[in-house]
Amino acid sequence: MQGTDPLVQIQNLDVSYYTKGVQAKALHNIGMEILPGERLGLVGESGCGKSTLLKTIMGVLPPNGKVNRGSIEMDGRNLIEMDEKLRRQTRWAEISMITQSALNALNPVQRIDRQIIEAIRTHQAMSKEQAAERVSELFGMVGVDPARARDYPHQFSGGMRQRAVIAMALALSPQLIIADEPTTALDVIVQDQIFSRLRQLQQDRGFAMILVTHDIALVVENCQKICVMYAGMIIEAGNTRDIIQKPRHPYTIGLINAVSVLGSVTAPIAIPGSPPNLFENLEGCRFAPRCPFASALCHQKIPEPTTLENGQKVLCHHWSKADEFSKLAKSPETWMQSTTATT
Amino acid sequence: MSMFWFRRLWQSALTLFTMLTLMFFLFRMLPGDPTATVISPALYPKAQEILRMQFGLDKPLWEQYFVYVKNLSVFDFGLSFHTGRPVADEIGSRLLNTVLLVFPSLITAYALGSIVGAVVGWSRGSKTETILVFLSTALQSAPVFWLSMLSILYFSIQLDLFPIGHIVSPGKFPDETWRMYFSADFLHHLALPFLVNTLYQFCFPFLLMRSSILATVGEDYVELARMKGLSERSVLYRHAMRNSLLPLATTLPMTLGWAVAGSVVIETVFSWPGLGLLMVEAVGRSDYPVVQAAFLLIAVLTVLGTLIADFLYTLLDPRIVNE
Repeated sequence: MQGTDPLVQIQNLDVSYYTKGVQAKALHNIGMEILPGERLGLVGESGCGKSTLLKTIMGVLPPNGKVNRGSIEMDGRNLIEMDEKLRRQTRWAEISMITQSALNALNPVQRIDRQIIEAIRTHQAMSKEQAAERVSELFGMVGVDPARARDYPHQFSGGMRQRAVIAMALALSPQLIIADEPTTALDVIVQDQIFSRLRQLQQDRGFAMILVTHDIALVVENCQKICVMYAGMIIEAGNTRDIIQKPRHPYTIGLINAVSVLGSVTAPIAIPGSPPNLFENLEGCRFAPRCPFASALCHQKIPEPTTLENGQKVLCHHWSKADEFSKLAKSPETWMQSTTATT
Repeated sequence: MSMFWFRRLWQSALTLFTMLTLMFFLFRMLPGDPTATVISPALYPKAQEILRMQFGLDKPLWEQYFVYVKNLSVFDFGLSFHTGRPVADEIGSRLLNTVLLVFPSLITAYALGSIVGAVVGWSRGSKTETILVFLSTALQSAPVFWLSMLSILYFSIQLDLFPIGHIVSPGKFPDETWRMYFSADFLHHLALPFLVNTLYQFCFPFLLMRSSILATVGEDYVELARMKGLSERSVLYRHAMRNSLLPLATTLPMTLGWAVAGSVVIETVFSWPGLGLLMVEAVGRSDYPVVQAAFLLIAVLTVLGTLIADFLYTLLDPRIVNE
């Protein structure tokens, strides 16, 4: 894939929310790129800015959210500066979304086919009959009986609803699909079915995909690349394999430690503490207060992003000591210290 | 017809029967002797006796009740104590006047209220919103008679734009023919009570729609509609407003009875010869047959409205299945 132009390139993106004049810096200096046909995993805990990033890409930030800096480029156009009318045309047609909760995302009082037809006919001059045919085709693709297309959302099971939402995302054959925690509400068996269907569709149709999740295991299974977010910043990014084998950021090390492995003797280790309050003026590395390896420098200065030879990007002053950190991080005591040190 | 609707109809009938029984006895417990207005005390006792017998007032209460129910079952509402005319005729013409005043203003108020409420709720925090919410809350809490009197004082007396009351100018239509309702004079008389009533009725649907929209704005399906690339207007009308309409569409039929009953005040202030004014007059005269029939009519409208609301719910929200 080397040498391909990125499909979407995000640079220096700053987004803040303003509540009664108080600024919450939700995203800080976000940079990332997605190549055509690539599967990228975006990982982070709740409140780290994943949803804000998605909303910024889709252009549906709430009225109190502002993009203060940066660009999101797609096909040589900057989506941030685009005129609202043109912007609207790119939505769904070029970037679509598989939403977190399929039950809430579907309008409860409209038939499912009507909601998909609406998406199609907003962007393409198509008769209702043609659009309805397209819906049947889409239902076939995601594995739901097309005869059920005229049902209401509440008549579908959780898995079927999620499939219907996927069908809707595929409706206009977009180049990029953002899947926001697409299976959190489903049991593991259905989750697995949905993901294998999604991977297969992705390979057949060649769209790029951003999988947003707090479950790093899901990313390892499904994505070639990974971006780890913490408190509104991307703290580590690169090929999934590289990062799982050699995480360079203490937070990533902690995240991998926190995954429970069935049959393993050692219990998973949670990262103590909670993310910083984004309303406050933050100095230094945002992870420093929770980091067991933080030095005085970490509390004073935000680290500059470093790119390693394999293309891995990391935002840590002490990334070169990561191997040592990884060993220490295996023992729960290491993490206990950090909490006693900061609180 | 499903079991549900069968049960609902049966319940409604029972409610109405309870209502009419309660009303029959309640009105008779009120102080005041109906015979005093019908039968002049100056008449010979013998003549008084005959009149009492004619109206059945000499019989014991329970017997009167059975006669009342028996007559009702064939839609015979009896004769007015006051005019001696059949109650059905008495109420019929008055009801039409009320309907002509109340229904158009109710429909206008709900249509306007829901649209303005939706638009205002959609752009939350605007100055217009603050002002309109304040005004409609104040209006809703203000007594209607006060509002009516103020408007008469200003528009009719000071500006001399509208007549101060009645349905047509006195003496213009001496035989009260149908032509009356198609005259400009009628519309001229209708205008002010219509406006006051509409303004008053506007507040409830407006506030309801606004809060309903506010609850919908943050829904995932509204955001999805926006992400689908729909224009803001389509998102509002096709998704947010359509779904917020539910509570409104079901309160409208339920207010039918209430709106007719509530017209009492406005009709009194504007001397509008409608059902409300008739009720006030009839209560004052202890004219039982008229009062009972009028109250029964309001009860029927309310019960019917509730049934319509139930039906509308199943029509508008596919998640509700009445089985």
